[in-house]
Amino acid sequence: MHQNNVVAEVKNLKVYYDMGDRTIRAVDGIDFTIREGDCFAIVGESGSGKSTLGLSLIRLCPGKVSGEIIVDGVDLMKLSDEEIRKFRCSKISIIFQEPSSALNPVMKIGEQLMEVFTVHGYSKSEAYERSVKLLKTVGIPEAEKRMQSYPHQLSGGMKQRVIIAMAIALNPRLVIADEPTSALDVTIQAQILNLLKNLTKSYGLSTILITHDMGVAAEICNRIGIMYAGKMVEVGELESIFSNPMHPYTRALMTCIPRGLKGLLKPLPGHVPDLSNPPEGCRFHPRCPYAKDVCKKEEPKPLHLDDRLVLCHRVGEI
Amino acid sequence: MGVKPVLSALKYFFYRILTLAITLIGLVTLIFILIRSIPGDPARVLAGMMASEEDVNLIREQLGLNQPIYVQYFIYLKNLFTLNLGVSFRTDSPVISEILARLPNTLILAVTSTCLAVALGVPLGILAASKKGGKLDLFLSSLSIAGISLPIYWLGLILILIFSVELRILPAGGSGTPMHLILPTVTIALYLMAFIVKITKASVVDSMEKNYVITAKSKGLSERTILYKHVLRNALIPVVTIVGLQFGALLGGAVITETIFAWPGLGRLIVDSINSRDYPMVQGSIFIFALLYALVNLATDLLYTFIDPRVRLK
Amino acid sequence: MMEKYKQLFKSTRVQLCLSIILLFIFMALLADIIAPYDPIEIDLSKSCNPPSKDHLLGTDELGRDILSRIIYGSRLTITISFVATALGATAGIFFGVISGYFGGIVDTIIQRITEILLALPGFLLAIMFVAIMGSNLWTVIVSVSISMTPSFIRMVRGLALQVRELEYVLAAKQLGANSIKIMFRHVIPNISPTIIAQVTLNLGTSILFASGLGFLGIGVPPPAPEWGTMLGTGRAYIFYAPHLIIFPGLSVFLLVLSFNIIGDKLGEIIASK
Repeated sequence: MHQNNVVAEVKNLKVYYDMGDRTIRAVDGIDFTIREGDCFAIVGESGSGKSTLGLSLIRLCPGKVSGEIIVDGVDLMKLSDEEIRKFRCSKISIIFQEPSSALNPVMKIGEQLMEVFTVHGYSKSEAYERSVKLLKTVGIPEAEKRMQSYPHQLSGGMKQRVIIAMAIALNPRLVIADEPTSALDVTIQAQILNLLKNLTKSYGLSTILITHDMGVAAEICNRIGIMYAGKMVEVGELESIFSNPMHPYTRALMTCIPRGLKGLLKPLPGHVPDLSNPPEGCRFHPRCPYAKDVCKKEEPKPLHLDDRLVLCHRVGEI
Repeated sequence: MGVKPVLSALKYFFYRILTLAITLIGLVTLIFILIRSIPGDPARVLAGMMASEEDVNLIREQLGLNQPIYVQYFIYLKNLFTLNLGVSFRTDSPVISEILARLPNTLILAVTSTCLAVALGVPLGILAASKKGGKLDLFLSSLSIAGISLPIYWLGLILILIFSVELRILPAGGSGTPMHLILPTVTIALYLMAFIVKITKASVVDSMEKNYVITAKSKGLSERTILYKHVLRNALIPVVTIVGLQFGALLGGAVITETIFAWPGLGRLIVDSINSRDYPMVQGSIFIFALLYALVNLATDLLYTFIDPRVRLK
Repeated sequence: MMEKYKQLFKSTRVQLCLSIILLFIFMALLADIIAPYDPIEIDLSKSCNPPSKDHLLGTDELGRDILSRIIYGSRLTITISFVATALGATAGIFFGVISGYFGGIVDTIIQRITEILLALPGFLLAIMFVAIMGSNLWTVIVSVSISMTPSFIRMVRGLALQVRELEYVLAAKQLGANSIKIMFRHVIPNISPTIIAQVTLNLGTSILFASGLGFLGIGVPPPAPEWGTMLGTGRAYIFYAPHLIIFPGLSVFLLVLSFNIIGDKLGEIIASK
C-alpha cells in the first residue's frame, strides 16, 4: 500500500451518550488510518460500539462525539451542518445493515436514487441517466423499470444493491459499510460481498467494513481492527493478524471462524461489558483467560509492533 | 394497470360492500331484537305511554305486528333496505323525505369543519413534531389535550357567550346565511383540530425515528427536505385514515352541535324525535347515520389503498 | 414495572390531575356534609341569581344553589364514570381475551358482534340504547358502557393475540396448563399496563358521553343535578345568566382533562419500555 496516500485518519475518537444519570461510553478513544484502496474491517461483537463508530464517522450519531475525523484532509468535526451535508455521499458515504428499513417505503427507487445526484447539484435528466447506469452497475436487471418500483417490490438483496448504488453514486473517497450482509440470506450475502469487492476494486474506493464476522472480513478486507467495549484492541494487516493474533480477544474470535459460510460470533463465555460502567484496567480482563493482576488495575497502553497495534499487557508473554 | 389488478380491485370492492351490508343487517337486527325484547306490547312501547290508541294501531299496522315474528322481521328488513322508513308520528310525512331534507345541512357542517380542522391541525402537528421537546411543542400538546377534553356542548355554549352574547357579532343559532355556519363549524373544528394535532405529531415523530431518515441524512439532504419529502409522505398516510374515520364519528358529534346551534341537520332530528318519541324517525335516522358512517369508512379504506403504495390489492 | 409507575407520580402535572380527581371524589363522598344547600330545593324567588356571598356560584333558573348541585352532581358523574367504565372494560377484557386467545369460531362470532356495534359512532350508539331503553341513571350507565365495549374488545383482542405467541405462554400451554389458568396468570397480567392506560382515558370519555346525553335531555333526568343536564337546561338562560352554564361545564372539563392527562402519561410510560 502507498503509505502516503492517506484517505482518512481518525484520532482519539470518543462517542458518549448522556443518559441523564449515567454516561455510556460507546466509543472511547479510537485511532486508525485508512489508506487509498484500503478495505478496513472493524470486527466486534454486538455492543462493542462498532455501529456507533460507523455512524459517528459520517456525523450522524446522536451521541456526543469528540476527536478528529480527517477525510481527504478535512476535519469533519470542524465542519458546519451545511458543510457536512455537502460532504456526505460526495466524499464519505454509508451502507446500512437493514435494506428493508433503510429505504423510504413510499418513494420510488428511482426518486430515492436520483435524490443523491440532485441534492449535490445535478440536473434532473442527468440524475436520471446516471441513476439508471448505476442500477446496471450494481447488477439490477431491467434498471429503467426498477426506477419506477417501490422498495417493497424488491427482494432484500436487490434493495441492498440499491443502497450500495446510492453509496457509490458520487464516487466518494470513503464508503462505510455497516454489516451490509447480516440481514440477508446466506446465498445473497456472498453475492453482495462479491459486488462490494468488485466495486471497490473498479472504482478504487476505500472502504470500512463493520462486521461481527471474521469470515466476512477475511473475504474482502486487507486490514482489520478488532473492537472490544469501545476500544480498538488490535489493528493490523489481514494476513499478519490471521497468522499471528496477538490480543487474546482476537484469538478467541479466530477460533470461532466456522468452517461453513456463516460465522456468527459467540467467541467467549460472558458478555460485552456495560459501557456506562466498564471494568477497570483492561476492559477485557473479566473474560480473558490470561488476565493477571496488572490487567485488573491498569489500562493497557497502545503497543506498536511493526504495522501492528495491540492493546494488551501481556503481549509476548502468551 | 392491467386487467387483473382492476378485476381484483373490483372483487375487493364488492367484498367490502357485502361485509358492509351484513354489518348493517346486524345492526338493524339488534335494534329489532332490542325493541321486541322490552316487556309489553311493542306497538305501545314504540308509541310511548302517552300515545293515542290510534297511533298504537298505526304502528301495529305499519310494522305488521299482527303477523308471526319472522314475517315481521322480513318486512322490517325489506322496508329498511328499500329505504321505506315509514311515516313520522310527529309530522305524518315519510321519514325518508324528512331525512333527505336535513342531510345536506349535516354534511355541509361536517365538511367545512373537517376542512378547517385539517388545514390548521396538520401544520400545527407537524410544527409540534419538528420542535419536539421544545416550548412550542409543550404549548401545542397542552392545547391539544385540553381541546380533546373540552365537552363540545360546553365549548359551543362558551363560543355563543363570547361571540353572540358579549360581542354580538355572530348569530347564536339557526341557519340560512354563511354567518350561521361559523360558530358550529368552529366548535366542531376546534375539537377535531386538537385531535388532529395530536395524531399528526405522533405520526411525524414516529416517522422521524425511522431508518430511512438516517439514510436520507447520509445522502446529504437537509433536515427540511427530509421532513417535507421523506417524513411527511409516510407520516400523513395514517393521518388521512384517522381523519376519515373521525369524519364518520363527526356525524355522531353533529347531534350535539346541531342541538346547540339549532342547526337543522340530521343530528338534531334524532334528538327531537327521541324527545317526542317519534320512533320511525329515530330508527330511520339511526339507520341512515349507520349507512353514512359505513360509506365514509369504506371510502377512507379505499383512499388508503390508493395513497399507500405498499397496499396494492392482491 | 413498579419503577415505571413511580415515574408517573413524579410528574407535577399528574399530581395536579390526581388532586383534582380526588377533590371531586371527596365532594361526591361528603356531599351531604359540605354542600351548603339542598341541591333540588326550589326557591323561585332566587331564580338565576349571579354568584354572591350566599351562593358562591349563583343559583339556577329554579333558584337552586349551583355549587350544591355541582357537589351532588359529582356523585352522579363519578358513579357513572367509574361504574360504566368498569362494566365496559370488564366486558371488553372478557370478550377480547376469549376472542384473541381461543380464536376460531368464538373469535369470529365475537368479532362480527363487535363490528355491528362499531357500525355507529360511539356516542350515537349510546344515544340509540338510551332511546330504546328510556333514560334513567342505570340505562345511561349501561348505554355508555356498551358504547365503549367494542373498541375495548378490539384492543384487548389484539394484545391477547400478541401475548399468545410469546414463548413462555406457548411453553405453559405445552406443559398442559389449563387455558383459564394461562389467561389469568400470563395473558391478563401481560396486557394490563395498556389496559390501565385505556381505562383511564375511558373514564374521561364516559363522563363526556354521560353528560352529553344529559345535555341533550336524554341522560339522567331532572331534577337530578347531573352536570350535562344542568348545562342542557341552563343554556336557555345563556343571554342573561351565563353562570348557569359556566360552572357545570368547567367541572366536566376539569375532570375529563385530568383523566386524559393521566391516561396519556401512562401511555407514554408504557411506550417508553
